Amino acid sequence: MAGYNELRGLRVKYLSADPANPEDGQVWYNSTTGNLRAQGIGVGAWSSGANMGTARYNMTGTGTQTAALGAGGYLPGLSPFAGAKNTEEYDGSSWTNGGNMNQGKHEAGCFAGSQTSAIIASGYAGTSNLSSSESYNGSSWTNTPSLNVARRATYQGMGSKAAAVCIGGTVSTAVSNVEEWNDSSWTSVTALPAVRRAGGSSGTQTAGIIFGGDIPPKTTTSFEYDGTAWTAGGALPTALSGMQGTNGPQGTQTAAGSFGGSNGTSPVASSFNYNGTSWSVIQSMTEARQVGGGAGSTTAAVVFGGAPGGSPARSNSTEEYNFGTTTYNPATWASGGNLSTARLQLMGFGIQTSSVAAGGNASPPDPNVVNSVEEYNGASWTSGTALPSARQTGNGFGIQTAGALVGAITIATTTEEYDGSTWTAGGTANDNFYKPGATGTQTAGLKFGGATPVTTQTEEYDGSTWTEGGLLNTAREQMGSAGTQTAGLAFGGSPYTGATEEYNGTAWTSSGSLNTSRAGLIGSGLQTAALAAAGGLPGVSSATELYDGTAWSTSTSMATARRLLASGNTSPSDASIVFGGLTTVSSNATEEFTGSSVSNNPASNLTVS
Amino acid sequence: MALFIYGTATNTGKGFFTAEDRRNFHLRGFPGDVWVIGNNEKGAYWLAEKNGVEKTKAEAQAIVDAKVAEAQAAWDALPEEQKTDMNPRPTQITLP
Repeated sequence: MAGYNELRGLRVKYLSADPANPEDGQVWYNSTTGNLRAQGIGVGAWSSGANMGTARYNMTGTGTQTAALGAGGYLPGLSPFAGAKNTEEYDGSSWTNGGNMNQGKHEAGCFAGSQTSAIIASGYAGTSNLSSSESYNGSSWTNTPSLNVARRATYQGMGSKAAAVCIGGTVSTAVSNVEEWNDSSWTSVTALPAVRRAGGSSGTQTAGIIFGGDIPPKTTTSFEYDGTAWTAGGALPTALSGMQGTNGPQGTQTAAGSFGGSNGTSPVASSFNYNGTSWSVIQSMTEARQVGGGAGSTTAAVVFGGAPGGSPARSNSTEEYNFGTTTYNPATWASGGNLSTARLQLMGFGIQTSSVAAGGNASPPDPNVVNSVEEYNGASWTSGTALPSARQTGNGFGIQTAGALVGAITIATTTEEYDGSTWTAGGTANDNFYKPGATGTQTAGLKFGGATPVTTQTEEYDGSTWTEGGLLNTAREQMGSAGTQTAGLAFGGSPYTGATEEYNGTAWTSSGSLNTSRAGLIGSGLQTAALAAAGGLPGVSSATELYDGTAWSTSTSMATARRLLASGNTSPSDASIVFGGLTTVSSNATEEFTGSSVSNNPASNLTVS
Repeated sequence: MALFIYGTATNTGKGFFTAEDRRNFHLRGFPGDVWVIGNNEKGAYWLAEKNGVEKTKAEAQAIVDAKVAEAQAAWDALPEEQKTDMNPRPTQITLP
């Protein structure tokens, strides 16, 4: 695979701290935190916000992502098609009721300002277009002088409570009329070059932009305003109206957002950001919607309410968009608490935060088989109830409070069940093979392969009885295992192989082989997301591989190479645990695996030196 | 392997889906609390964690169709003056 150097002709910089002014697309390695970092391009994503108290559409919004204001709109039960008076305020976590407007309205949209200082004008009250105007102080609405031209379906307002602009809309058809508010009255100013209604808007009275909207038909065009004249701006990629946008103090002429809207046929979820010249596609919202409220900025926006197109025809859902710095956190192995008794050929089950280590050989090459049991709590091992007798080389499955062991040498058909405090005899296996693979739960277990001689035999356990299952294609012992009784996975083993097989509850089929053939390894996870680690080549290995249901890929190696170890094999592949084993001597080391992840942090949180 | 998982789950608001979820798997909501989810391990876990109910594509489409039909009937019953081009009749939605 080509490296970054071959692809970009550059090396990733190795820095002790994040750069002060990273450029979009810049990649660097932070040696202090151990993270590969990138200044984001296209790394924004939508997440769900709190639901509004009242579902509504034909509403308007302003403010910021953490201090938004939604007002009016169309609610069911209002007649005749009247708009709502009520408003709601969002703090980034929840919606609370704000003060009621004096005039119920929907299709307003000449809405500007912040959550605590806003002005709204125009709209429809069910029988007539509105010229009325009101201002908000964070708790109550006060009537202010009216617009000169009553209108509806504007959705195009920008600026602040002290200096706003109301643009276009519908009188009987779409109009180009524009009015400015100076905190005391509305005055007609330079008209738009073309009529439009229900577009998006962003910015201030002296540096704003409106985009898209309905002439009709719907348009991609935009116009920028400098307080005096309108000039053409960059065209939207798609003709839309009824978009939610970056209304409020953070949206600007050169950093505007257009989220969702209608393409004339149906609402859409597609979203775009404007940089003062052109529009770029950003991640789509999760739900298509139009004529809802929008607020915030191109890096921290919020969209709420609106019409999703089906029933319910009005939405109360909220989505938040955040854009920032992407951090790629590579997979890691971290040391866990040491076993009290170093041992190899031990048996294990459970998960990373609650696993069990049982039996094993404490001091090779001399046989010193033990019956001691230890339990892990995610930090340290403590003594558990000892096994009825010393044993080694079997395998475990299940969880700490409902686990089982089977396949130990000399007593390979014996099953013992553990409930977290007591060992009790389970059903007797039919096949007398030790060192098998094992996976599943105490009441739906699976064991396969083993020795001597190496076998293809598989058995299924229901909590009391073992019954024969389908035969492995490749006879083997000391293999890795993962998955469930009906979706099992076998990989590696001795004779040394990288062969992987998938079980469907009936039969085994071959899949992609391990990159590194080995035996005495461990596994965990699911048939579609498994981990393989350690083992013998012969020798000892720290190699780690991850399986995606088709193929194995190399991941971060363990700190301590070893074989004949055990794992919390019920763990998911990205949160696994291994313990014990043979290095050149018996090991008491525990290592915990954390899979790779990508995190997105607001750009403002970037730590710089 | 199918590209998508189909299911129903109630949007409980904040935290129902996260930005990380949106990066990890495809997620798109439709009427009737129907969700179309990218068919990977994290997508499957997401639906399970949200107490969702997995549906076949046909079952999910039927739920959406019923909700759209309900919305269309409600729209058809509106007074004519409310059937404006700013308030269009809900249209059929075909799940991906």
